[in-house]
Amino acid sequence: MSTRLPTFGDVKAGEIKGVLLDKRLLAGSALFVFLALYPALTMNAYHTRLLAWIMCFAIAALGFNIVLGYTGLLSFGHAAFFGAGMYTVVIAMERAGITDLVVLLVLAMIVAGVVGAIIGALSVKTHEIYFALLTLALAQLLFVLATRDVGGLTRGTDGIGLTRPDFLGLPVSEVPAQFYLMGFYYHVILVCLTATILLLWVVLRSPFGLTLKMIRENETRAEMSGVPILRYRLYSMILSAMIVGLGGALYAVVVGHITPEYLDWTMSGEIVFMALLGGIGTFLGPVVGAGGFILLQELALSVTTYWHFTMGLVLFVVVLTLREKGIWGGAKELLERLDERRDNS
Amino acid sequence: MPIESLMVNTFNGLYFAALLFFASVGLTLVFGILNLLNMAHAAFYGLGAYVAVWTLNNMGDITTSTVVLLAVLVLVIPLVVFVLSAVLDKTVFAPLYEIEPVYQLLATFGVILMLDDVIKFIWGASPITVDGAVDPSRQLGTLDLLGISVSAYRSVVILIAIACAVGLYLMFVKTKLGKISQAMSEDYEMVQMLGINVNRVRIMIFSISVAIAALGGALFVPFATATPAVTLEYVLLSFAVIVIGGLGSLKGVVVAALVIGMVRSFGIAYYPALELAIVFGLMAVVIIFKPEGLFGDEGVVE
Repeated sequence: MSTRLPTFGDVKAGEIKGVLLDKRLLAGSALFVFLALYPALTMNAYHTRLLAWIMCFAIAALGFNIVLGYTGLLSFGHAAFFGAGMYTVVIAMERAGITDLVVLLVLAMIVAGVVGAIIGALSVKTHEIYFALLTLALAQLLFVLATRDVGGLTRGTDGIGLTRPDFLGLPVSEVPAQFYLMGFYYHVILVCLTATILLLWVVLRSPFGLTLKMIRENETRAEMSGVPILRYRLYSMILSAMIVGLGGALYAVVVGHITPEYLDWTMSGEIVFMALLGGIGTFLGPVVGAGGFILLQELALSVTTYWHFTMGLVLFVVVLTLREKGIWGGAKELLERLDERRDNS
Repeated sequence: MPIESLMVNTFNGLYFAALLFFASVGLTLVFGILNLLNMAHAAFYGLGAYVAVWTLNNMGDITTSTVVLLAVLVLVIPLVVFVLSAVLDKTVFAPLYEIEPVYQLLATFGVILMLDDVIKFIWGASPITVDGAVDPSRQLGTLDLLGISVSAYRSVVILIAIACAVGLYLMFVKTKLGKISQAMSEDYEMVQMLGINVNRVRIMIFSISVAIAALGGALFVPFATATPAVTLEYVLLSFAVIVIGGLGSLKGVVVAALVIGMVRSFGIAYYPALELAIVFGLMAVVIIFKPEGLFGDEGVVE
């Protein structure tokens, strides 16, 4: 069975120049520079921490959206991958004595990928709500095992504390805590987020990404065209799990203490929420959603202790009004409409 | 005495099964008849629990008569919630019937978050319990059943669950409302074409379903504390029940509630670390090998 998939032709030099001058790329680079300099310019530890937090979840939400936005499967079990990333870091540091951040991150991605492959292999045959419920059940199984400390790895609900990892043989863990985050770790997260965005931009526009979209749009047609649907769904689960695991691993060092809460289904719900809030039908929506979710939560918490109500209401309204567009897609649409009106007048 | 502990565990399993039945039967009916997957369904179980603790504790000044207290739990609270949920169906839930199941899941997840804070706003975040003086489970004491001593109150709860299941079955096969609902689960639009007011049937089914969940929560608290975590626990357990039984099947809910009730009871007694793991493992196995559940490919009451 041969698979006929769209391929890229040769990219001409002029096109490359066009791509480089693309305003999206320019805006992205400007934002990158701004974010990279932010801690040094403001010396605001609270903001740095908040940004680090947002970027970790932006990575997770981006990874999650490969499965929901691109392949069209709602997973309610992505906490398993996020938690797998976190626990890999802490267990590898404690049990195996690995202290190098790069090794830890790679290891976390591999472990999350394996968990993704197992959950994916079991669940890709099911559809819609059954997929959601099955991923929920499997992830919850991991959560229960972690809370009951089965295998003696997780120390149950007490959780495990975490020391700061080093970087490529440099003893950066010895600098004071504030400088570690503001001068070093924050930038690691920023680089990881940028790398994730660039990687996904390429992957989701490649024949692979287009095939995933094809499966989402019309499964039967994709199957008739010779696309091995189940295998592609599995690939998307593994890729998604690895990126969510990276987000989790990065976040583990930010929080410094890992409990099974991060494996619970409410965590999965939060990741789904972020992606949906930003817009699952857009590429950068999940990043905007992660920022929106965390800022909204901080804002609601500063005003009232009843922030759950606020978040629930926002989720409800977003689902009913913006649907897959989210706030990012909604904002883009609004801008386009304003542009059109200006052109017409 | 192994035979005695076997009987005690079976009895406790029946009690768990009764609670699970209350918490999940409405979820499966609303999905089977109205095509709404309401993740927030079990939140009404939690709400019922809080309302019951609050009502019982306020009843203490008026009366401590067991009959009155039980009547409040079994009749008054479900009736109040019935009216409340009819209002909610008209307002909050009305737009959800039109959208895809995946979005229904997400929107009702939002409803859980909101209800969670409504409960915390009214009753606070710390657990609340029923006072000893107005606790029907203490008043009723224990009774002797086949040589083992069991809680009389738990026996009453089991009997109410059986009555409720039989009542629902009779409603579906004997009454006009039940027959229309069965027809709606087969072909919603056709029923509408025939000139039947489907909205009224929808509100009835939704409110009955939610009221049963609240009844379960109300019956649950004399033996347990009402905490915000109850909602989240029962959301998951009720999904496990309806998935194992098969979405939309009344018989499925009864059988699956019994299975999970027994698994929990014997699990707590023999493998306390793995009791919940078995529940989710079972749920996963059923979806993988028999996605339609044990009785999901049949109608509501077949």
